[in-house]
Amino acid sequence: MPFSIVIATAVKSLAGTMQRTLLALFGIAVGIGAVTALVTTGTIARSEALKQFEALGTDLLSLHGFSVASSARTAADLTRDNIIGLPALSTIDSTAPFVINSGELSGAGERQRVQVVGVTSEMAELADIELESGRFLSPLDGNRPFAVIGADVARQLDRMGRESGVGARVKVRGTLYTIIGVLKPGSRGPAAIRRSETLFVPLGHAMRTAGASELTGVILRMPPGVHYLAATAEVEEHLRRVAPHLQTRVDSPVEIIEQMDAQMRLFAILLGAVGGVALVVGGFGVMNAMLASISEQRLEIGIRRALGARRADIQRQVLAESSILCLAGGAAGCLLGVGVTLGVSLFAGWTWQLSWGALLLGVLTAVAVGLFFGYYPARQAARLDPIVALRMG
Amino acid sequence: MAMGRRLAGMVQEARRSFGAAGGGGEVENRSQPPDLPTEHDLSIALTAIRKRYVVGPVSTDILHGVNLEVPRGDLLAIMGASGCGKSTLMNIMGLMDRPSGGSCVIGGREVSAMTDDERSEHRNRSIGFVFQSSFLLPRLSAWENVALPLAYRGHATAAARLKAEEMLARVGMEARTEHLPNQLSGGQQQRVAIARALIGRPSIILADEPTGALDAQTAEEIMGLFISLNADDGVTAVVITHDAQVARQCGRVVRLVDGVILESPELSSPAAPRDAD
Repeated sequence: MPFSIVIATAVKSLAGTMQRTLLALFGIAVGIGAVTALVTTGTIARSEALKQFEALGTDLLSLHGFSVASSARTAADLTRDNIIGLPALSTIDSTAPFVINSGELSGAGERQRVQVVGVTSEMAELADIELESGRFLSPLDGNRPFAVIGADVARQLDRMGRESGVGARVKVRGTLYTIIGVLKPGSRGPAAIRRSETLFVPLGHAMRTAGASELTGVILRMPPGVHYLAATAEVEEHLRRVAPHLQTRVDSPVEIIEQMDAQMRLFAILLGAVGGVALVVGGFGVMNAMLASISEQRLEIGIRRALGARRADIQRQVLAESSILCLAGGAAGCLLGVGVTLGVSLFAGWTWQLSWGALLLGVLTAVAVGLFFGYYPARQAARLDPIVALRMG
Repeated sequence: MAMGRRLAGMVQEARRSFGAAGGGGEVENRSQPPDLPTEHDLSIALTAIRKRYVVGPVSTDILHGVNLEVPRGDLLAIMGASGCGKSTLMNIMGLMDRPSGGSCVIGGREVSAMTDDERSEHRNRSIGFVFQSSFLLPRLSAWENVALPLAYRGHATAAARLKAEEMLARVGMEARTEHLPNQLSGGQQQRVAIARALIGRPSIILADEPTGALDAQTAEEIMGLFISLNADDGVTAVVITHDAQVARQCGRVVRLVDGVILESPELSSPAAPRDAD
C-alpha cells in the first residue's frame, strides 16, 4: 500500500475517535514534556554551576596548610619561607600568599563581621581584582596599615554613617587602617576569600598583628598549557623537599569542575529517568487507545483482509496510527517542555538555553514510544482471523 | 474490454468444441484431453474438499468432500439451507479459510499450500467479494472504497481513482463517487461493493447472499447487475443464496446438501449466459 495512503488512513482513523485520540495524545505530551523539561533543566543547571566554578579561574591552584590533629605537633606550618621557591618551578608562574583573619566593624550601634585578609600585591593580578576607586596594595606600602575594602564593606560603612572613600579611616581588630582603594562590586576569584566583605591589608602587617607565622593559603598561577595534575605534583614534591613535615593540600578549580560536571550529568540523567516514568505511563495510554481502536475496527480489519491486505499491511496501519499519535504528542510535549524550562530559568535567574539535543531526544523518544507501544496492538490486529473479524463485526 | 472478454470466451468455446486439433499449434500445444477443460478455463476447481471444525472435544464435519468446477464466464448459484456450510464453502473458495482436506485450484493455482501472505496476494488478484451487507469502510468515500484493492497492490492514488470511477460508472454510480457509505441507500452501497469486487479484474466474484439485506425491487436490480456483468463482460460469479428466486436467475444452480454438492438442473436457467451471446 502506498505510504501516503497508510498515513491518510491513520489520520482519518485517529480523527474518527477524536476524544480518545486527544486523551492519549495528552498523556504522551506530558511524558515527552517531562523528559525534555527535566533534561533541559538539568543541562541548564549544569552549565550554571560550571560557570560559577570557571569564574574561579582555571589556571589557578590553591595551596592550603593541612590542619593537623593535636597529637601530631611535629607537623610544620605553611609559612612564607616554604613557598619562596615555588615561582621558580616550571609549572608555576606566580604565587599570592594570604592570611585570613576575622574582624568586626562597629558604629551607629551596629556590628558587622568582616574578613581581614593579608595579601601581597600579586593578589590583585591573580584574583582579577578590579577597583572602583583608589589603588591596590603595592610592595612599596611595606607593613603600613593600609586597606583596600570590598564593596559590601564600603556599603556597610555608609550605612553606619561613616566615611568609606579613599583616605577615610576604619578601625578593625584594634588597628586603624587608611582606606587606599575600594573594589568594584561583583566577585570573581578564589572561593576562600569573600571579596566584597573583605578588607585587604598588607600581608606582613596582618601576620604581625595576628602574631602568627602560618599562612592560610597560597594562590598559585600556572603558565598556559600546564595541566593541574603536573603542577600539583611538582608543588607537592618541592614542599616535601623544603619542609618534610609540612602537610598540604592543593586544590584546582578544574578538578572541582570535573567533579561537578560528572555530578550534574548524573543529575540530568536522573531527571530524564523521572521524565521517562511519565513517558512510560503515556505509552500505556497509547497502547490502550490502540487496543480499543482495534476492537472497534475489527470488521474493518476483516474487510481489508478480504480485499487482499496482508498481515504486514494491517500491522503497518496500526503502527502508523500509534506513531502519528506519539509524534503529535511529542511535538506538543516539546513545546510544553520548552515552556516549563523557560519558566524555571526565569524563576531561578538562569540563562535560558534551548537544548536541541533534548528536543531531538523528545521527538525520537516519541517515535520510539509509538512503535514500542503500538507493536503489541499491531500484532494483535494482524493476527486477527479475517473470518472471525467479519463475523464479529 | 467487454469485447476482449467475449473473444476469449469464444476461443475457449472453440477449443472445447473442436479439441486440441482444431486449435492447432497457435492456441496452446498442451497434451490435455480435448473434451476436458484446461485448468485455465476454470476459475475454480474444488476436489474432495472437506472441512472439520474442532471445538474442544467436539468435532463437527461441515463439508464431506465437495467437488465443484466453475468454468470461466459461469454465473453459478450455490443454494442450501442455513447452516449447511455455504459460508464455509465460500470462505474456502475465497481463501479466507483453509480446508481440512482436498484440493482447491483458483485462477490456475493450487492454493492449499500457500502461505498467509501468498493467500492475501492471491485473494487480492483473483477474488472479488460481495457480502450480504455491503461492508464498505465507513470513513472512505465511494471511490476510495472501490480503489482499496488497488491500494493493496501499491497502485498510485490518481490512477486508482480513475479506474475506480470507471468501475463506479459501470455499476451506475458515476454521480456518487464522493459520497460516504452512510449517504447511500442499501442498493447503492451494494453497487459500490460490486464495483470494489470488480476493480481488480479477479478470476471470480464470490457473492454471499448479495441481496439478503435488500427489498425485493432492489434485490431484482442487483441480480440484474450481476446478470448483465456476466453476459456483457464475461464476469465469472458464484452467488450463494437460500432464495430460489435469486438462484433461478443464474445460469447454473447447485445445491449444498449434507456437505456435498448436488447439481440442480431443474432450477438452472434455460438460457445460460454463455449461450445467450
